[in-house]
Amino acid sequence: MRLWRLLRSAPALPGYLLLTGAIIINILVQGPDFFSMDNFNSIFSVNAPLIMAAIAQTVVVLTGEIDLSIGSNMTLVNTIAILLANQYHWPVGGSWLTALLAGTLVGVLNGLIVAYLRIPSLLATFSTMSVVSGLALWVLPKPGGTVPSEVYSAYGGYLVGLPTTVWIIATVVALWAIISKYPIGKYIRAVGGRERSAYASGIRIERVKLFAHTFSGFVTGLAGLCLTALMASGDPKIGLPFGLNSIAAVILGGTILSGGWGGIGGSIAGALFLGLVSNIVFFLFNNFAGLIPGIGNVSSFYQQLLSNLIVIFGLASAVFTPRKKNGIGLPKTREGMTKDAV
Amino acid sequence: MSKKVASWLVLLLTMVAAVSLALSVANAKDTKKNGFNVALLNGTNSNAWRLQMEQNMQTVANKYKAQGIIGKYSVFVANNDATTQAQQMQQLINSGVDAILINPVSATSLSPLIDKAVAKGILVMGIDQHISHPKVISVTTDQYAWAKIQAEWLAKQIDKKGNILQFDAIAGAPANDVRHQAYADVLARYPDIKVLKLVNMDWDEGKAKQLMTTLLSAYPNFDAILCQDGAAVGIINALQEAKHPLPKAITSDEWIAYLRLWHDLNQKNPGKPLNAIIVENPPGIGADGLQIVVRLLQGKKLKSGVLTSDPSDKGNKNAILIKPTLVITNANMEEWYEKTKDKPDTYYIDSVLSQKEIDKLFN
Repeated sequence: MRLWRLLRSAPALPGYLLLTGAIIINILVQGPDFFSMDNFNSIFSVNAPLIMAAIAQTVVVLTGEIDLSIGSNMTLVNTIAILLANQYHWPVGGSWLTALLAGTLVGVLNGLIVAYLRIPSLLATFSTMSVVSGLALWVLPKPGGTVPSEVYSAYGGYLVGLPTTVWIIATVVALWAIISKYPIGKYIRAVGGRERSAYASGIRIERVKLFAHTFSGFVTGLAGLCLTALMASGDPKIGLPFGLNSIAAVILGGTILSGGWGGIGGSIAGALFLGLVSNIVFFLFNNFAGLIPGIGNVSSFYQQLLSNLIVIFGLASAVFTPRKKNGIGLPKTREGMTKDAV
Repeated sequence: MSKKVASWLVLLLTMVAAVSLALSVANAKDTKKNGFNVALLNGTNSNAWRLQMEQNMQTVANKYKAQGIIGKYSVFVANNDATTQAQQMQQLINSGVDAILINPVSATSLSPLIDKAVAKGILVMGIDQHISHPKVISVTTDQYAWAKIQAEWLAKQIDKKGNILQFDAIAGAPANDVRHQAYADVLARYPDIKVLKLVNMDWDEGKAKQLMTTLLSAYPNFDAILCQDGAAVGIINALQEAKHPLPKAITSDEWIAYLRLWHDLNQKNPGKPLNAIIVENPPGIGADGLQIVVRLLQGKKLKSGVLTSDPSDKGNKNAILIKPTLVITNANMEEWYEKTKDKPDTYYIDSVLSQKEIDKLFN
């Protein structure tokens, strides 16, 4: 039972449990095709943008802040990458790097506003969200542009036996694992756990928040590039759903919104859970809706109902987020939680 | 891990595998092909227009099903999330269908998947919104013609001169941009018509109402209002609440609620009817697309000249533009009010091309 004890104290437990449940149901409705490498590949390539967005959101949430601008930041990255490569004929590498830089800069801007101007992140990122989506619309007023087929084939293909997107995600996870080993990784959780105590122990709170937002902006940039590679085109509205979905993934993954407790592992599980839900609903309706007489005529209503019900069920289970040091349960006291967890 | 847990896990996995295997065998039996397997990917069903589109298509699909032409027809909605739609498309390609109709979340974003589908011999068609892909035919209402009819009518009503307010929808949305261009092209021919202010109302009558209320204080002296669908009800409500006189002319909203508002206004002021126009932007376009897809699957060939270029995709000849035919003004408003009396408020003025009209497109 050592595994259970280890799992039980992991903040990401609800995320992992939900994901396991979703995987089992998905296998049930999809059949053995689930186990094909192509299926794994399509799940990861389609959901990589959300997974990255969830990682970006987690880092900010760990400091006790929130970032509403992730969706529009991804859109900005998408439009810049497409515009530079298509209209100005920059090489793909150069335009994508510039787009990544722009995404990071948005993160820096958020960080400066939140940390130094001390505007609550809910307000600050709400306003940057509008500004950034306006910028994206200015960069690329209407959908268009293409990505070279080598790029999107590589994105949707394999690298050394595994889907390319798995490698991309693994790289970011490794990067975060390294950061977590340095003091700054611990500071991020400390600031989110209890800001005053962190301040009293000499942590420079502004710098920590600035760092978290910058890192988040960088990962959001990667998310935007993944989205660009997946969609192979630009669209000034494409990132819209990612803002709220990334927050949902974070909550599903067991990270608490007040900060300090959680980790990116759970958020990745949460994002995959959301992806699998649409998969499940697809197969449920594709394979079984015909068996129930009458449902065929209105099935699209039920799809919405079902997928949203599953998500609500998942979000409700966030109640079980382990907030005490060693197990599941509602918090009695808030401790300064700085446990390492990925 | 203790042995007990491990054995439980193994047992669980075996059970899952067994059940899934049994189900897949059951599925294989179910998908016997009597006819074509056609799927619709609808970007969203959260507005009445898209619902009506789905319902129209379902009616046509049921007819084909009864004739055995379509074996399976399924609908998937994507909650306006482009990645969800990509995932649905991916799974449809994997599970093997004959044709996919798409009302895309993002008009250009599915190219890699469309390449995959076309390579597998799946017929892909865009409906309502144009898809820029050389191998994909899109069946859409001719939005340029739609907007042109209205702008021309408006110019005539105010004797080609005066001040107008313009309500666009969402900058960046393809239909909006085509309509905007048509408005601009028509107005360019009438230099005495001045657009006082252009606003975006996001196809939201609530927002349109709010915008109109704000505009009233800055621009109270306008002659007419040029607006896309989704705005007229809100605009009229705002004017009524402010007790501001109604414009000399106002353009489209093909919503039944508007037709009824218009009818009521005319009843109350018989001497001064509202000078309005409705041009259809029919949700029936989806059903038109489905009828065309079925004929293409049957191997029929489109007549030359049917395929034209969409204004947003001039490089390709891959669009079937259906011109709006139904126009409602005060001349025939009462007639249409009676015709649609039993429809819910959320219904849109609608038409589906008849079998004959569809056959005209083919050799």
